[in-house]
Amino acid sequence: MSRLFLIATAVALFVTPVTAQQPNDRRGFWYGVGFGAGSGKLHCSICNDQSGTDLTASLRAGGALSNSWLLGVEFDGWTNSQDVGTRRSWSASAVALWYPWPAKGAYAKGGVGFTGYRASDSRDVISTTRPGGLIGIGYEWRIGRKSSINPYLHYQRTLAGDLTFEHTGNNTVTTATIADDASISSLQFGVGLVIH
Amino acid sequence: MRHPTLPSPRGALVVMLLSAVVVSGCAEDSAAPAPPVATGVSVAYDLWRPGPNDDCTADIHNQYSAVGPDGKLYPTWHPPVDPATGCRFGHEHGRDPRGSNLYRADKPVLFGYANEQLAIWDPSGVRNEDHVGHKLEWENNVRFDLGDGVAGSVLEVRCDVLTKLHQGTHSKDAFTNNLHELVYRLECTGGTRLDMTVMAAIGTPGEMVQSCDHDVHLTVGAPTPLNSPSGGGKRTLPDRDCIEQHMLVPPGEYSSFGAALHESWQVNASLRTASGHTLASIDPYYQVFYPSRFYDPTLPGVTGRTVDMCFVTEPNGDRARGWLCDQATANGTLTALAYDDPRSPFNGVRRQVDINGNRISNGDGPEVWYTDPFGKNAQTSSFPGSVRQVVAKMDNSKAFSFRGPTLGGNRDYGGPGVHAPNERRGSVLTSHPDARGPGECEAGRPSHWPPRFLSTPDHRGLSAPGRAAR
Repeated sequence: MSRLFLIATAVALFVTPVTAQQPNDRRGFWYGVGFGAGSGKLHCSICNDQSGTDLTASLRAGGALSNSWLLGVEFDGWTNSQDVGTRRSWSASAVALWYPWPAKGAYAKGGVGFTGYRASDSRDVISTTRPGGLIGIGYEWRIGRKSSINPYLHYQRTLAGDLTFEHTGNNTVTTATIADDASISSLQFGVGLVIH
Repeated sequence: MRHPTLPSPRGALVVMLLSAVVVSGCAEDSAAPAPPVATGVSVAYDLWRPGPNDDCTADIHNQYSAVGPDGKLYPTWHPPVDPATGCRFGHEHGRDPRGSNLYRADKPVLFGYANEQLAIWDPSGVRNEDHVGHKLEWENNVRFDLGDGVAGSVLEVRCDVLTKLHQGTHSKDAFTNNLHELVYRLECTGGTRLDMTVMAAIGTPGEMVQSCDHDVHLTVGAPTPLNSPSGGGKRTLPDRDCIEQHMLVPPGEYSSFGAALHESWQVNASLRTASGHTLASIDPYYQVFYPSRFYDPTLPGVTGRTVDMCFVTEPNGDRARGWLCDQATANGTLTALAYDDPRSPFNGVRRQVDINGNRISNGDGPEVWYTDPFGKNAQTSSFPGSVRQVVAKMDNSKAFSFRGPTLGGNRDYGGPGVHAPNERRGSVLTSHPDARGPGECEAGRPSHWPPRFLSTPDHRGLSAPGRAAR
């Protein structure tokens, strides 16, 4: 994670001097990729998820409705490995980005979609996939005619539902629902490259 | 937190008066449920009698009672010292249940209810137990162990636990008898809920297991009742061999009292339907340190007294040395001490319960079942001799295992006047003195019915939750 932070910082420092000279023009197809740090967490009446902050990645693409509105889809992922097991979270969302000051790079983002969570070790898997939404903010610094450096922050939260426990032992797999009030949250901070 | 109160004489009187008002003056559509009114007494009621070291009367003792679902009066928990009079009962029942989240004044822990039902269910298999052996333990909001896998790192289950086992450690009863009344209440985050009362069959009837070597099974004698069923688990109890191995030691060595005098009653109890489906199962271990007796087949009553071992020297020079015998002998100034003397440290007041596993397989419900006193033949409606059981509508049998922690290991239930029990009626009732079927409680009432306290409102100031006086 620290390595990722250093890379992101270096990129940001490198591109900062060349920003602000390019107009914020948003047309047609756009896409972006980002990396950063974040955490995903499982919530339920029997949950005590102590997940740490770890690597996140984001991929999004779509089209511009206007210079103030962009629509698209976004895929986010997070992983966290600890002494016991690995936790992963992912999401796929339809998103809308709103630029309140079209000439500038600040935007707010909202979306709805599905988020999954999976914690596993060699024998057991705890997982759920739930519908939810995301909100976020970001800023796009133009570094070229169509490219921007994009620091972003977003938060996801799902609706509550079933949590599944899967156990593998003696060549058999047993599955049980262990909670019906499970939801997922995640907070991500990252820096990305966006092409408009 | 609920605010439980123990049933008190004053409370009982109020209940009686209120009931009278309800019956005589209220309309039929009154929504308020009528408070319970005793219609008889259980066999367990009025069982205790004070010994030479006790200064409470039986009447004071009988005031700590509650009405069971069958309308009979049962003894229940009380402190070792009566707070109103200051008199000493000489025995204790473990932790004051009023602090438990699972204790309700309208659902007290009854002593002897399953025994009473057993006499109805199977009149040929009556099993009654003495009063002092009922030991209660509880803890609120305890974290359960989910193992060292991912479940333990992502999930957390916390439970309220309350349990009571009849665990007499002062008589020969447990050497042969494997049927002991068990109350087990559990409520956890995530919905796990269990409230069971059974006659737990612990191990093999007529047999005990040597506590210092669990491979040694000792056949002691006929159990009571003779038709006691075998159960899972075992009762590991100290015997003369354990005493000689670990307590009576050569010159220069110290006794290992923990190795010599550690009982472990390993329960494996369940609730099952008539078809054999297990609705719930538990396997708590109830452990006692430094009991007052051990099995000695060379003695006429097969019951050795632990404290006596502090005063003997074997022909080879082996004898007991260490802190417990220092206490028992007053640092060598005494030459003998009765086993029931309050000064004896061998009184069974140090106990702990390992809650262990809890499995429920009741996904289709219902939550209320009625079983026979052994927890079998579960049905959805009551029947003569049945016991009401509550099992959450859930199935955790395919999910992660969660095991309860050890409770009570840091508590000492000793107190003023507490001593190894003695009873005027003999150590254990083995027959039903007034066996009676359902609906026959009128004939079974003792001559002193109703109990004196019902017409004598007084004191028992036990309304505030808290721990027993120590």
